[in-house]
Amino acid sequence: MKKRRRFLELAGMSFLALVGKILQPDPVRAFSLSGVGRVHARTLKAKRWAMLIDTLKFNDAEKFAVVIRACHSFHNVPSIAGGQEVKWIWKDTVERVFGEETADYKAKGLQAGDCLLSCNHCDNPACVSVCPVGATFRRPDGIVAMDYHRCIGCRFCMSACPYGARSFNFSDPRLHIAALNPDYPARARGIVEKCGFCSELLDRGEMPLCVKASDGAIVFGDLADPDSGVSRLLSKRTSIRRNEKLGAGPGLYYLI
Amino acid sequence: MYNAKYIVPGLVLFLLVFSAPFLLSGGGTRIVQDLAPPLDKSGCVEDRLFMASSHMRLLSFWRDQALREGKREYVSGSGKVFAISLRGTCFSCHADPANFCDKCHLVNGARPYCGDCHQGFGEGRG
Amino acid sequence: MPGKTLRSVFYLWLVFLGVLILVGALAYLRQIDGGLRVTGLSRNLPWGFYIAQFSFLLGLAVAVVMLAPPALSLKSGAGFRKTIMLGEFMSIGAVFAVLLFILADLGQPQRLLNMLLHPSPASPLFWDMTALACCLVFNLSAAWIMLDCERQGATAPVRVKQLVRLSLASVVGCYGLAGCLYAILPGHSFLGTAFAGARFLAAALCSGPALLLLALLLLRRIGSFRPDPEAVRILVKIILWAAVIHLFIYGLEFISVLNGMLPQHSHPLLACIFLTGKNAAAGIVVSLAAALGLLGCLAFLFVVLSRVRNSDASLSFALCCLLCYIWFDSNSGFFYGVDAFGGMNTYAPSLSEICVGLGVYGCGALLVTLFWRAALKGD
Repeated sequence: MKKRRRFLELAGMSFLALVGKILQPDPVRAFSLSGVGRVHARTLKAKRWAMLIDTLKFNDAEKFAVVIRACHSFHNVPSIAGGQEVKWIWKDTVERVFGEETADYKAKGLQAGDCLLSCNHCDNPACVSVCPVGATFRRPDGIVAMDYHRCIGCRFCMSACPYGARSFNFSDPRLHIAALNPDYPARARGIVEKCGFCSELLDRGEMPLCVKASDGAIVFGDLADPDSGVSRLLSKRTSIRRNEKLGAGPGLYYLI
Repeated sequence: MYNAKYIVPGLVLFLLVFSAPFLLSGGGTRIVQDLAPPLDKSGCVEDRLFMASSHMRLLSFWRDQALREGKREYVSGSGKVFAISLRGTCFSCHADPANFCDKCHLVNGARPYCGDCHQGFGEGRG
Repeated sequence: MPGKTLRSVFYLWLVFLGVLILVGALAYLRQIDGGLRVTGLSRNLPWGFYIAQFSFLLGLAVAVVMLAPPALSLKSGAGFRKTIMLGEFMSIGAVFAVLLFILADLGQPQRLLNMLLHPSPASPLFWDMTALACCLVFNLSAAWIMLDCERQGATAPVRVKQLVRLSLASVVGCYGLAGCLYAILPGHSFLGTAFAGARFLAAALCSGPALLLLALLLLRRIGSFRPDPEAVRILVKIILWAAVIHLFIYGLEFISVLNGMLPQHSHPLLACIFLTGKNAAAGIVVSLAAALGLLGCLAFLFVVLSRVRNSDASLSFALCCLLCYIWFDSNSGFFYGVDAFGGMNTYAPSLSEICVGLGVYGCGALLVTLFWRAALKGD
């Protein structure tokens, strides 16, 4: 009896030791990587990327549709109806978007109607601090980016986001994409995704797709640069952000 | 030993069954694959030996450089510059994944799931 | 009951658990195959049944471990020590079930090791995992040693006390963290008060001993094991006080919400009680919860009356009611929620989810059964 227990204890401890060994980082091998990564020549740099949505210019449904289509079709975002939908950029009524701050949104100067929403890329993102594996992280230029390779699908970030900006792939997205774009990966099921301010395009010197499709209604630029389009517009026009009381510091401004 | 007449034969049987794949394969033969040649013969990102053994390490490095540091170009040890892109760099030469990637992966029982998200992989998904 | 019937009851129980586990495994295979779309979760309420069970079972585990330090002091009798040892085993089963529930909830469970390879100290989930792992290890070693001592008739060595204290620290920390975890969720604002952690602990201290006591009473009924009457008395007292504190905190929350009427707090509460808002279904679910809450109060009153305490049957009934109430209380926070846009969302678990849940409960129960069988072999 005693020997059996000893054996079990030994087996248990050696199993733990094995697990520990497996979790060790790779030892140095004969073939080591000799190259380095380098920033693209035309990379757009900024200290704090921000997006301005001119609510006055989004005055008919087609304008919203064009912008949303531009994003979703390139990024292979599936179109799923119902509660398990996936959306990176979408529209909702002004009442629902700004409703919690003021019951009477008209007092703030907002018109009734629809409003464009996406991830706000906050200064203090709740999603980044709660992610247990670091799959979502904040880049030095202000973009809250996602590493879809690392996401385990725990959905803590979805619960923590106060703006409801994140979507989960409840099913395989490829089943719900009409035309797959070969120039961008689709995601697998079980992964959380959201708008990334088109960081992969910014890194190659191009503007985000929604900005390009909006025909001037969305302005994108460096908030820290006083000469950029966003800084100048912000100094001229009134702007609000969603639920500022939370202290998240969103980077998405609405010009009203 | 308690119950030795059952345990010892059992252990021997277990060892036999466990080592059967190694014994039956005749000590191991090297399988030479007939892989589809790349479209551009000027050279891969790194040398052939490195790529054959460690292409996954390169791809992981690329992933971290592109996603976490925003560096979308790779300068190899020999000074050549490549875009960090599966479709733009890798698949522009290795356009036949069924006869290139899948052949070795299938034989070695490797089942990477890159193709679950990334496009351009064959039936083997990576 | 004669020994043969007890053995057949035992094997019947094992078969029942086996069926549950099989059902759970099949349902989980279905979930792995199709993705989490087979659940009732949605974009607005991404956490539901699995996380609710995680919260409930964690409370159970915490509570029982909390009882251990006083049990190991020299003043307590051997009977109480035995009871607490059984409780430790139950706690191990509960923690195991918690880990299984988290695994069932993940969208990419094969990437679970990412939590160890890329630790994120800022995330409460990371600390949850650490505390759970510590709790499991400490509890296992403590219970192992206690069982050893029990067999040999020796008193527990000092390191058991230290182990149990460590386990307690880890598990209380874990559960307090769980409370904080929920407090920051904007969607579940009903859970998100500062009181949440304290309320959870009180509910836990109610549910843990209640389940333990129920199981012991059941054993007394069907077997020859006689739980120490001193132990039963202490457990009942703990359950009583925990229930008082829990209901008191609940009452405080209700009063402060209804008094202040700040929309983000009162909206979900009023919508549920008065069946307003977009989804009457949510209201039905929660009025059920309110009814059970009343039941809980009744049960608590029952337990207060000493007449009830002396009778096994009525005590078991009262404990059942209490347990159901606590279960519903810890679950109800997840069955409805106000999303980021002020809309009321409902959630009901799908059949698949319930099956997986049953399977996981089956696994936990199996572990506890096997441990108790080993511990009670002498009796």
